[in-house]
Amino acid sequence: MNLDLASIALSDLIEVLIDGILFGLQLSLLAVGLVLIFGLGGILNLAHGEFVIVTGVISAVLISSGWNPAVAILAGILFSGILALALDRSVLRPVYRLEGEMEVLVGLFVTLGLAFTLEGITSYLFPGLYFSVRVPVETVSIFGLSFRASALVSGMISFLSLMLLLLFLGKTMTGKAIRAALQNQTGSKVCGIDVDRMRSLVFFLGGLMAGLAALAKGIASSVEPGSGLELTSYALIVGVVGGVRSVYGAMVAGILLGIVNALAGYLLGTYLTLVILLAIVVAVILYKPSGLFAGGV
Amino acid sequence: MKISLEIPKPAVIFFLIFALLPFLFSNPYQLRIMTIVAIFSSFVYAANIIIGESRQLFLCMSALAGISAYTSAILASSYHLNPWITIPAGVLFSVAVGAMLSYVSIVRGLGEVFVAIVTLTFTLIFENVVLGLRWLTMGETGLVTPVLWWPLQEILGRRVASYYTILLFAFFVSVFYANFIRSRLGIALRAIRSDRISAEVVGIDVTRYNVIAASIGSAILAVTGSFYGYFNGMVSPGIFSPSMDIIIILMLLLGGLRTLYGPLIGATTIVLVLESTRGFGQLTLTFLGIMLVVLILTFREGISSIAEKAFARISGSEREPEA
Repeated sequence: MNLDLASIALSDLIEVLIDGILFGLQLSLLAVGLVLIFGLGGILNLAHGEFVIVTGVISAVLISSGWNPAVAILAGILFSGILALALDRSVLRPVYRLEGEMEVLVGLFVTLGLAFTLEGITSYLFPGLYFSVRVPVETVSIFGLSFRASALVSGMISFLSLMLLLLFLGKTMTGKAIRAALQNQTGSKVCGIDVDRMRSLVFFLGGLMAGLAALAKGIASSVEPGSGLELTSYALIVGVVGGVRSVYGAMVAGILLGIVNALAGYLLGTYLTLVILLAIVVAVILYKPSGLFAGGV
Repeated sequence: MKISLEIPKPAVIFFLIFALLPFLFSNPYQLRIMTIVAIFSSFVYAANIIIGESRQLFLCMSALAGISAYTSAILASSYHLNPWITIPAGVLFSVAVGAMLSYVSIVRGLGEVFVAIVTLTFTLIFENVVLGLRWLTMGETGLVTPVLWWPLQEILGRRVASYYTILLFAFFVSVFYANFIRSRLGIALRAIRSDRISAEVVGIDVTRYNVIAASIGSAILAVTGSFYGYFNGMVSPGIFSPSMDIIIILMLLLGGLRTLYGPLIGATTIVLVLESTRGFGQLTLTFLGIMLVVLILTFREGISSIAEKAFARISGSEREPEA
């Protein structure tokens, strides 16, 4: 009897753990865009969550007007990339001319203003709209453990997106140039890398990642206007814990926090979970402001 | 130490005008807007001290105001105390939290951006704790505050009496600020702003002065926050939400950072803009956002300092520049 109880608890625990990892992958995907843009743009983009919302809104609108869902979602993701690029090319230009702490501060406020602007527009134009993608199968059981199919698919999409990003940064010439510019802007300028162009590219990539995060979130749950700042704060939490300039850090931190989130949610309930996550951030900033996994790119 | 209290004349005139307004605009809606202007101008003075004078980017001003408002309301209603007794308790709590946030971030050597992130995170924690402790705070619906006795309410009526109390406090805060920037503390903070290392070398205790500035700012936020709660008849997470911080910063930037009249100008303008765009619903956010972007990119000096410069040019006197 005792043994039975123990085994039930253990299988529960494994399910919770895997759930946490799947959610963590979503978090990582949400955060890498923010981290990339901060690393090269020097801008802590508080409008990042809005990019996710924009993809969701565009996709939902296109789907409801009769487009093929796959094409509509692709268009939505591309739109976020282009929006990020457009912001980099327009309102953020004057920010780059500033230096050091001032650049970061002004960037912080400009992107906060943009976040409010986008949040207002999307929730004014599309109240009650939400973007969600249905997976035909409800649950999948593997080795006697059962999982929500939507969480699995969403986790897989997040994982693939992250791997693609790593491949791009690691294997292509452009990716290497971006990494060089992330590490040392002046040095890479000397080597003939066009840092301005790399920055625009990074914004585009960051927008695409936010778009992909919208897809992952739309599969697991839903994306709706008005939740942009919440998404941004999740991305910030992960980014800060991972080390705000480190892509690998963000990935590891995302998975770690996903597990903490799932365990705390399982043991303590939802509202305390967020408080715990936020407390972790404060602790990490105070203990090691550069992040737990800073160092690599 | 020589004590000389300076009461700036324009502030007196400004507040006299505000004090006469109820004779012209006496319906409850107009009184409410005027009271909110007074509340927010106190908030903005606090921001001017914390963010402007001591350069600590606190994005937890709503939480500091809210902590005090909730503490005071909860104590008063659960122990049947007079709110005037519980307000100091709430203020003390907020000051302790503000001082701690300031102390910890200075000792850990956090840059302005990290201070912003830590305090923003703190705001989110506050919001979630309030939402979660439903039995204590009534969660999202909000807590009905006990009735506060406003001085002279028997003669003036509650609305006008609350307006005058809050306005008087705002006036006190503006006079305080005028004297604060001339005081030893204000001058020390100015030295720290222009060159922190030199200031330390000549023996200015950077940690101490910054923590004091944060505590003073927190106290102003806390008193005003409590008044806001009692005036409103209710405290809820919706009132003390992160967007309140944004509104305060917007007012500060519009009026002019580190200026004496900026907070009054900023608070009046933004409250009126917010009220007149109420009909647009969520688009109000968009207006705020666009204003923030435009302000921070083009016009970081604010209305007040531009007006001051123009005035100086006319009268021929130059104001000493600041780093």
